[in-house]
Amino acid sequence: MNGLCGNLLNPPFSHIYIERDITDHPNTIKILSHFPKSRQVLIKHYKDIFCRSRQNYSLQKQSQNLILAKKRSPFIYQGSPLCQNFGNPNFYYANMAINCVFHCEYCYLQGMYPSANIVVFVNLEDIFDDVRMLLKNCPVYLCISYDTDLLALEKFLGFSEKWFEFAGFYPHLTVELRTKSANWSSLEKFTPQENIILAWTLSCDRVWEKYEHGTPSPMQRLNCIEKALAKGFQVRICFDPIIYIKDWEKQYRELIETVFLKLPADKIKDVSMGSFRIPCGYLKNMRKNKPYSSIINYPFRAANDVYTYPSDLSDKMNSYIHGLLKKYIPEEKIFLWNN
Amino acid sequence: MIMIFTALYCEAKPLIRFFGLKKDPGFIRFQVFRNEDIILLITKPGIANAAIGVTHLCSVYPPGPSDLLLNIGICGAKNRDMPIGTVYLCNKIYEMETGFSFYPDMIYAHPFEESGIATNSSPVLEKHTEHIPENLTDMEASGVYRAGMLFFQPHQMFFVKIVSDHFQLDKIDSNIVNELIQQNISEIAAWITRLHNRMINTPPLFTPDEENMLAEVSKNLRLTVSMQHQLRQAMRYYKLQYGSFSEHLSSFFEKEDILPIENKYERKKCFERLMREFT
Ligand code: SF4
Repeated sequence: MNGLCGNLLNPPFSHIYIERDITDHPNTIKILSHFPKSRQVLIKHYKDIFCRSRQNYSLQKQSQNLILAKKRSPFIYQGSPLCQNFGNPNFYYANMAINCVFHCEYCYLQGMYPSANIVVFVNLEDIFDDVRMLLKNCPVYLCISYDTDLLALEKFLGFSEKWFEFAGFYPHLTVELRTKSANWSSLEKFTPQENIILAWTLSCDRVWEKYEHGTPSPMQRLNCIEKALAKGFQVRICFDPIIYIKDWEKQYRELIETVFLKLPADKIKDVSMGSFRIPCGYLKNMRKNKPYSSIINYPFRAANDVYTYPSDLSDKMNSYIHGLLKKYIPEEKIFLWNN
Repeated sequence: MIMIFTALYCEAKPLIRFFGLKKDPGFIRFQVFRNEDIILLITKPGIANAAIGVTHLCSVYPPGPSDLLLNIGICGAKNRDMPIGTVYLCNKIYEMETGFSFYPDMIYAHPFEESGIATNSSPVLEKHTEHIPENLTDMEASGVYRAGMLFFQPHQMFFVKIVSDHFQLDKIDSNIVNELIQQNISEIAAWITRLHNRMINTPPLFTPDEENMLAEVSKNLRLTVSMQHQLRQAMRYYKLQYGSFSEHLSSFFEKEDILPIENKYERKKCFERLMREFT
């Protein structure tokens, strides 16, 4: 493993790789207009660059490039059992971007993908078509910001806005847009929709300082949530993943107290919580990429190909935090991820 | 180590002089020149020769994570607005015969122009230029990349090409090539050396003393292989979180008065206590 000291790196998005097939797509043209100084490199297929072998994820993360591509079928995936479905049986997710501008040390994306470069699939219309097809059969609960933070990319992507417009036509569609951003300048332009849930992940200060590099502070996120609630957006708060740190009880207690001091609990749609868990293969890759990250080097226990904290610890964390949340939020609105 | 590959001696000569490289008599099939930090091999022209040359040198001196590969040489340019003598760092290598493209990582800042390059196994003539999908052409880059990727990560490989002609091959000779490299060598050398100097080899997390201590604990507790892995992982976490585990581990054994371990049951109990203490 090696690193590089000093600033010899290109700035983020110094290079934009563009699939030949989508050079004329309106979203491509719009995105490129935000990066007039970037070098453009034409490619045949995004995997030619994204899936090269032996890439250095950590180094790429320090100088991320952008890849504009066309999403090919499948456009919609069944939700993972490691994710909450909030009681929705028809739980799906869609990927219109891969990877994230933030850098959370515990993020599973580092273990899932071979590259840290950000891929954006510009043909949103094909995903919309697939959602329309699905909606013909059943109501759909769709998470659109799993393998990225879509709202953090909004300034140059504009995809969240398009989802707000789209969802307005389909009452049987419920969309979850998960984020750690505090991008109020984008959000304030949207009209709140009953069927779009803005789901903010919140972590305690200690976890944010040490492990969530580049993300807005919990207080910045809270300020944004406060404005979103006031404007009438549907808001979900996610204490997920809960990370074990030395004084986790104090840290999470303070976080939860701050949250409900600042936010009107009755306006929050629901709350989710769950301790850190990750597929074994992903963690193995993450440890290889980041051998000096303490958080991912915790000696997790493996069961059914998933690493979690030892059950006594995760039970203790879950029941403590659940107990705190119950003081503010009715129990039926608290969704706990459990093994 | 910086591993430099050129196709021709006239491309290598200014580098050999500049870096003060000496011929390595240990190599018979290729001309190899080196000093302490740099090793240069002349591959001879062509994709296959380039790949064989890279594989040969990297097999003798397997590169590590802080080593770099530099392919340097002349190239043809399609457009007249790419003047002779301009230095390019290649961000894409297109192999004409197969249609494959290769992409070195463009992570590091550099002072050069950038372009894609098409590699062909024979020289490209002016009348054929409309079939070339990139602005530059050479005869080695894809071979160097293909072989290089067996030994290096994509961010460790650099393809620096200097425009020598606009597909009028009759106008270049070894003196011109020598001159073109010579004119640009100081800038290229300064850049690659600065990059190489900043590459850090990260030392292993555990010191030799800590390794000994872990081996001793494993022996005294008669740990299974799986338990040894778990122990290492717990100590790794503890060290990353708190800086060191040695003192705490010693005092754990003094305080707990566990040893010697008589049977599997005792081992299991002790191991569980140990894991609880350090997580
Ligand atoms: S914000 Fe979410 S997607 Fe982005 S790095 Fe953090 S955990 Fe990963």
